[in-house]
Amino acid sequence: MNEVVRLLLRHRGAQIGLCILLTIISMALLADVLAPYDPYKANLRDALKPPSLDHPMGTDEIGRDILSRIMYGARFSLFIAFASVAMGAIIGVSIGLLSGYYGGWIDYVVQRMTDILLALPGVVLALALVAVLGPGLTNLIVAVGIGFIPVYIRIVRGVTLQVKAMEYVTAAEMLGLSSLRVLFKHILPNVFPSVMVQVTLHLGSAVLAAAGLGFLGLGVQPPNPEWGAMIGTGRNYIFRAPHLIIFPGLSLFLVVLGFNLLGAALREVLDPRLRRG
Amino acid sequence: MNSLLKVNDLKVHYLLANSVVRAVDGVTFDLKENEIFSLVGESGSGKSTLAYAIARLLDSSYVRIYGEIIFNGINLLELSEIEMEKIRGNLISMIPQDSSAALNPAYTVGEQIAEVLRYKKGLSHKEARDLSIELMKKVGIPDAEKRYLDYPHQLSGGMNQRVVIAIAMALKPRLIIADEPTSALDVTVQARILELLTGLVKEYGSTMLLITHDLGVAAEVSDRIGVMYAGKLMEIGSKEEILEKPLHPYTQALLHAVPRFHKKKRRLKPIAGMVPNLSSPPSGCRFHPRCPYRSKGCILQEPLMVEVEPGHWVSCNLHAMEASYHA
Repeated sequence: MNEVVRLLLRHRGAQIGLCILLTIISMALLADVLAPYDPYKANLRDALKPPSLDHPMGTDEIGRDILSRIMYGARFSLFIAFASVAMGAIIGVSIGLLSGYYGGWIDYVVQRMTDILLALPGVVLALALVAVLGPGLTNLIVAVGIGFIPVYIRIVRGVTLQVKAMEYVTAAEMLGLSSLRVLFKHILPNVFPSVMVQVTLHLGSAVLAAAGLGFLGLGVQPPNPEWGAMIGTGRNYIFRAPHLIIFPGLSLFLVVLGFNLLGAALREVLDPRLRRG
Repeated sequence: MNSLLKVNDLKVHYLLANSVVRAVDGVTFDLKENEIFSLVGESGSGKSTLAYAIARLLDSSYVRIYGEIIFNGINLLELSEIEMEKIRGNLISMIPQDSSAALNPAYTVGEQIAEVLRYKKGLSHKEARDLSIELMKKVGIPDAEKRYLDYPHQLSGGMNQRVVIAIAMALKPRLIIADEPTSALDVTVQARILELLTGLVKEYGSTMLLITHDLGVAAEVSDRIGVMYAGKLMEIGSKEEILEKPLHPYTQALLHAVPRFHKKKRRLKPIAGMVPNLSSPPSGCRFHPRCPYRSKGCILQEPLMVEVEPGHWVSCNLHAMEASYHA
């Protein structure tokens, strides 16, 4: 594990990705201290002001400071991303492990259901779910997370099949360890690296999916400063005040870029075949 | 002496897409308490399959097992998976072929020894740790306290094999199945590992079933030897009987194929032909296509296992007559 961290810290892509992500995460955590204004406080006299020294990213249609809103908005984006990926990964990994390890009809049923879920694009699935469940933070997390489950099932099932054939798994069974113990203590840790890569990449897509739903008005509701929702309301002023959508858009871009750089780097580091000297 | 394990007409069939491989086809033998019994055979003779069948570790989705495996008076084939879990590790344990592959790369070797002690014996973290270090010393791992924290990839093959032995012996099982325990090791290390293994088996009063393709290894440690060919036992006898007075043509051929230092120079004789495909084994005696003494009868009729001398069994038409005299 230390080896992986060491290689990661020397990887250019990972360095850039980590820098971006650490900046945005600290921005989110320290928003209370760092934000120059109250993100909810309207000030109609200062509405739609372009960036200036007072308001580095300008103000929105009712005069709220966009920089402050972006800082607080990072909390929504990151929280939704981590929560939905955690949900998708925990459920998907458990099902994938069981499916790969026990095989037989369990595997068959699980894989056919996975086929169905995989046939639906994630955002469309999330859209449909939010339409059914109604908007709200928890529903949003569930809607985005469900789309990730089949991906983890597939990945983990495949790796489990490989790991199951390893001699140390037979050796563990030979010691009379229960099958659940073998599964979670001996197989899971060896499945973990492949899951980590996917988690990082999914964090980026989760941020995007949540923003997409926010943009459509199905995610986090205004006046909460969620980036997608900010772009959604800002699009009415796209010609008069483009900074309303440029800055939230840029933030989204950076977060997704950060996660993708980190994910790609992680994959290279964990897969020795992709490692460059 | 009492029998610890009795295998009765055991058949193990692998169900493939359009054929059935009879990897073990009607094997009968028994293990007496405290003895070391070697099963010798070429690769593909079904000896490893037999070992895994005894431990019930074959995937039941494509493997069918028939016959009886009586361990300690219980037929293992009738036990549920949960009951079998209690027997594995506690009463029967196995030393796998490639020790470096048999250890989980995600844990230190110490943790892997301690896991068995904690999980199967209910020891606390600290007790398990102390006992593991003691076991590591016992199997001859120097600096056991330090090595406890090493991962398998940091140790040599010989050291990993010692760790695997420590794990297998941790619960002092009655039966140890050692599947080619030294085949992945250097010849120099082999002898020491064998010595360690047999020493522990004797000390704990265990019984060992040693699976090997190496007659030299079998000659060194076993009390009795069984010779397997193409899924069947060809000959069973004491070590001396098998090595000095082999009756079956296959055993004889096998002995001729092994180099010996103390005998006068002679050419090694390879056994002509190949191990048969077990999805369509030869008729009659399995060995007949390669046997220098075959007759028509061997092609038509499968020989029975007969006791030629007390304790010396052979399955060959050449000796079927002799045995009936005996009786």
